[in-house]
Amino acid sequence: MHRSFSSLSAFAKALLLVASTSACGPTLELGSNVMWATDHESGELDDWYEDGKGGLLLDSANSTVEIANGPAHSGSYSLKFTDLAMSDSEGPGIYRELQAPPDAYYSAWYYLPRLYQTRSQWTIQKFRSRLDSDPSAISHGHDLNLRTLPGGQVVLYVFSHDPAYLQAPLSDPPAFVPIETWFHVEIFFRPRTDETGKILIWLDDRLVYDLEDRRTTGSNDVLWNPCNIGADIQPAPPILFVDDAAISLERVRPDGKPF
Amino acid sequence: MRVRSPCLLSLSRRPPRPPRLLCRLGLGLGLAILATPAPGLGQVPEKRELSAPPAAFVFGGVECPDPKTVQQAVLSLIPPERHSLLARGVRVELEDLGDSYRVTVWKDGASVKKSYADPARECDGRARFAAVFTVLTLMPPELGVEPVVEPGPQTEPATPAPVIEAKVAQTPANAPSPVLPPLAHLELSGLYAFAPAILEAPSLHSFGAELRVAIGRGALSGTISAAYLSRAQFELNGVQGELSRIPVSVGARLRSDFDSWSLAADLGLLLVAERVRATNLLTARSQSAGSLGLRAGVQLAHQFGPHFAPFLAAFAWFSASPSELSALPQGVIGNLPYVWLGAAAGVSFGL
Repeated sequence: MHRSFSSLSAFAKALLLVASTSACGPTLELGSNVMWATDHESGELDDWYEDGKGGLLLDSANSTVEIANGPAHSGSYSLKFTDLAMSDSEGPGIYRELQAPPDAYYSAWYYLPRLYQTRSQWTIQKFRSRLDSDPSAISHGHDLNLRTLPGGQVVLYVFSHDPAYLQAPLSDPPAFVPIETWFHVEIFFRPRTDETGKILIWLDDRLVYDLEDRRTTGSNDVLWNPCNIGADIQPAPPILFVDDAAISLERVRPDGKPF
Repeated sequence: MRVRSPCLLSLSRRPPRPPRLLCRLGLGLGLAILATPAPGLGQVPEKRELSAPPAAFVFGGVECPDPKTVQQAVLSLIPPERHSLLARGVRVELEDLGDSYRVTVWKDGASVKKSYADPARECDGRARFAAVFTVLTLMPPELGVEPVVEPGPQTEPATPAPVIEAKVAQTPANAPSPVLPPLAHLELSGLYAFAPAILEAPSLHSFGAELRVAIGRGALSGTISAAYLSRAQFELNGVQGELSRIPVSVGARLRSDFDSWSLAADLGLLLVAERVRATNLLTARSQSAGSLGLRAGVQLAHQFGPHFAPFLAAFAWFSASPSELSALPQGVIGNLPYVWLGAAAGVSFGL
């Protein structure tokens, strides 16, 4: 029996050695809840045009939306918006369009190359929808705007074109965005034509707006529209960078990997 | 009345043969005669799966002793695994001579005869003596008896112990080897396994089945096993999934026996093939991987004969480097369990 124990002891040591020296386990990719995403590393806008469900929204002033080999949140490329229209109603934009989308998270990284003084509303993202009565017309819904405060801070706020809501109360503490630093904006959007819609907004993973029980869309059609629209943003023209955009059924978060 | 043990007879005639087994068998037979009509070699008969009883081999148009009673007594004196001996050219003939009776045992064409005086005509006693004589004649190597060719029928005093009078011309059958425990055990069990949520691993539980083979007769034996665990559901960071596992192990077992109980400890190398699939993602795919670890367990079994033993077991599976799980957009959401704990219930078949 003693011999048996000795043999077993040696066997156990060998097993422990084998088990402890085994390599790290592999990573198993289970799948994705990402409906759409782009990191612009193709150097083209083709991801935005994917499946014919997106494209540019340009203005009459030849504002530009282009892939820039400049500041990028990941990789080398990002999307650069240059607003030449200087208008409250038009400016450079890009969109993804979804028909009767589920509740989803719309995520993008933004970059302001410098401090701009906003003497008007400055819109960096919109949720819009085509009218059932006239599909060629795109109505305005909820906007995400920036405003420069006298102290030089830039605050993020929400404005609804629905007269029942208009501007949402500012978050407390205020949702300040940084200058010359990428910041992450993620929006949970529940599209509803009645007052059961919902919008939640996170700025760098902090929930800054929680807007419930409201109409969020004019139809089953939803356009997610990053943009750069402002009538009087100085110095002109205002420039805005966007990168690593995604639409997901699950929160992306700043440390998420939508690609 | 004096009873002469066949063992003593054999020793007086052939002292060089090792007597231990022979004595035990012969003495048992004697005690069986004296103490009880119950069958067995002086021991409580072991309950076993009996093979089909051999065809009739005891004949005689007599009632004292009754051939059927004699046959039953012979069968009860021979271990079931040796009953095949009776199927090979064995024939027993009984003659009732009034105050005596004669038993003739044929084996492979040769015969051995024995006459007993019994004026009282105790038929049960005649049957027992006839059975013992038959067994001793058919198994001479164990008894050390050289049968003597019968010169002719004769009547003896009322001595119950058989005296062999005939010599069989044939070479005695080979002595049976000692009954060894089975070399291999085939163990089939149902099992339940539970993985606690440790660090980034989810909590899971699952049912399954395991087939294990233990090879070796001594305290230390080798084991090899394969199991299957049905789909276990888990949730990690909002991702729901299912996991199936096929653990295979190779190891060693240390066993101790306590009467009819045995306690065993297992330790082995564990190789696990795993298949995992997300169930609530927009796009999901099944992924397979293998992992290396250790298996440890204890098993308590109750022996019902050398070939059947139900058992209960507890085990633990360890994996030092389980596979990571990731999903978009979350990235790495955790990993498969480090530890599984479980219990099993099953049966072991000795082969």
